Amino acid sequence: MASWYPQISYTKVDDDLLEILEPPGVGWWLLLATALSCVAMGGYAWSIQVLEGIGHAGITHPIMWGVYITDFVFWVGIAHSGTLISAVLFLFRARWRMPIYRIAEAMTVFAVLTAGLFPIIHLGRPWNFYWLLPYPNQRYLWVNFRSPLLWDVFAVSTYLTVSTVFFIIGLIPDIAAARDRATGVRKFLYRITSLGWTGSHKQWRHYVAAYGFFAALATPLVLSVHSVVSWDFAMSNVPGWHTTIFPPYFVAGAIFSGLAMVITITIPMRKAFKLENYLTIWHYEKMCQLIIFTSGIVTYAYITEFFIAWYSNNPYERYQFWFRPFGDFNVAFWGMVFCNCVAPLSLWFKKLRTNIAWLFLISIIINIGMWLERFNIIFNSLSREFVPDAWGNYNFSWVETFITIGSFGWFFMFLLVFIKVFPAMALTEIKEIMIPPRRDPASAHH
Amino acid sequence: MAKEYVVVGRFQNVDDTAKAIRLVRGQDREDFNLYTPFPNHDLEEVAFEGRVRSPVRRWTLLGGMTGCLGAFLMTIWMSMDYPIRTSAKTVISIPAFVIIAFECTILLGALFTLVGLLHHSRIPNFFSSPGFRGDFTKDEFGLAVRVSKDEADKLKAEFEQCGAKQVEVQYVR
Repeated sequence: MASWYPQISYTKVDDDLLEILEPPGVGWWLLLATALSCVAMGGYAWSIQVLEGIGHAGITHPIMWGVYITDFVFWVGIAHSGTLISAVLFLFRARWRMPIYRIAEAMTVFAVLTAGLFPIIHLGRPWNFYWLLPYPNQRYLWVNFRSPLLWDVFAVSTYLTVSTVFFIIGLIPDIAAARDRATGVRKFLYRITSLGWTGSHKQWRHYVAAYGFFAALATPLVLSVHSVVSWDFAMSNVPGWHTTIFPPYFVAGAIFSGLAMVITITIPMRKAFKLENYLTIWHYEKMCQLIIFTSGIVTYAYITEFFIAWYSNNPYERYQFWFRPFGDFNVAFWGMVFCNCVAPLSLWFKKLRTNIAWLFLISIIINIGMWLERFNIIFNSLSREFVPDAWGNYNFSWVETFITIGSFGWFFMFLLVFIKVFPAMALTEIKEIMIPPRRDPASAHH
Repeated sequence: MAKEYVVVGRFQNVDDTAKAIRLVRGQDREDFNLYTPFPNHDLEEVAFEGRVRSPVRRWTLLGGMTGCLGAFLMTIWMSMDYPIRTSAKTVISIPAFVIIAFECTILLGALFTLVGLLHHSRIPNFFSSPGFRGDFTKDEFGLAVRVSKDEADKLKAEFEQCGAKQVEVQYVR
């Protein structure tokens, strides 16, 4: 299929896509109960850590950035492809983004909400988290603007704000469409949240202009945020971290993992809500092309890291990159290579990339691989720095494991509630790419 | 004479709607609203003939400049007010502050764009708009024109000639 225009009526689009908002079935409640149970596990574990101290986490010298920072980078990465699909592909006028961009944007917002918890969880005294903000205080202290950790505060909070605004603005016309069909409490909810949108030509004029500006602002922002996250590592002189390749390597990895998460989420949705006419194999093939591309960049970055370590003739760098494949955490390294470099190669074959079950499996494998990538970067480098006397290893604690599981529950809890409350597929944009009705159908054009 | 009525033409295709808009514009009527379920370039061109671009872009520029300038002023002033001298780095480290300024440029640019959008689109507006119908967010194109009582019947007939599926005359005041 060279392109994709749904040959159905506008009413049918509304009927099919707003049906997602119908009262949920047993499956949805079971998933929500599972997500809430995970959140309860994470909440319990965190409460123990807050009440009794950070010692409950496995982080200890020399690995002071443990699972929490791994989780932070993982969730920021997941967030990225939402903005890529909504903003970058909007600027490129990629029509295949239409059915998936809403769910990808929701994923962005909820993933950043999840990521933002981890630096706070990582703090010994999390109730003082607001010390990161430059606010007037009685001690006349200001924050250190030269610290990458502070750049993170600005980057992640800007990213959360801008992606939330972009997400909500995109939702308004669709909520208005839902409002005009809803009754009772839902009608009241949609009346409020659609802000009185009518779709008049004066509103569309400003809306289309503003949407373009949001996309234009979000595009450099998405590149900057994961670059800033990578500078948390690259600005230090720890072996394996102090490298200029980190920003593009992190951004490509983020898009790679985010696309995989979009596939993980949309495949069950497609099945549950019978969206095969909207989320076609053609759409999944387009996502697979981007996955193959970003997997190639990530693989190239891994190889470059090894080459530069050898070429630099720096003994600490060389040792670090020997330790990764053959040291204490080598299972994580080879797992990462398999999941991120080898498994996605199967998508080169049309038979496999058009097989939905295979795609679902590969998307989960990629996400495991991207979590392992962050694990490798953090654990290997911190466990083998410069002085052998300062080397050390790491043991997971149950608190960290529960909080990590809780973060998945937290993310999916928001996502499950969202798809049942607001339109999870972009009605307006799907209608926009359909051939508009003409008096003389032969005059229709795009 | 006070314009007390709204004539609402309900159309099912782009060509008939465009014809009705041209008719309304040809009569020098500016007090009309075109409702569409999605933005359509053909109809926009007809409805906005000779009009300027959306002023939202000025809000974006203003927000971006405010964010950039504000961030540089904030970082420079705070660094001078509470100097943290580390590793022989200058107190006012512009390259580091560029990152803060970049993020603030985007942040305020987006927030000002949001304010501009809400302001110019006249939302939130929780009062019903005369002439708006629920089907205009679904599958119909609507053209609502405020007219006096004398003009209403004539315009209704003209909309029907243009191919309107249905024309309603609504008393608004």
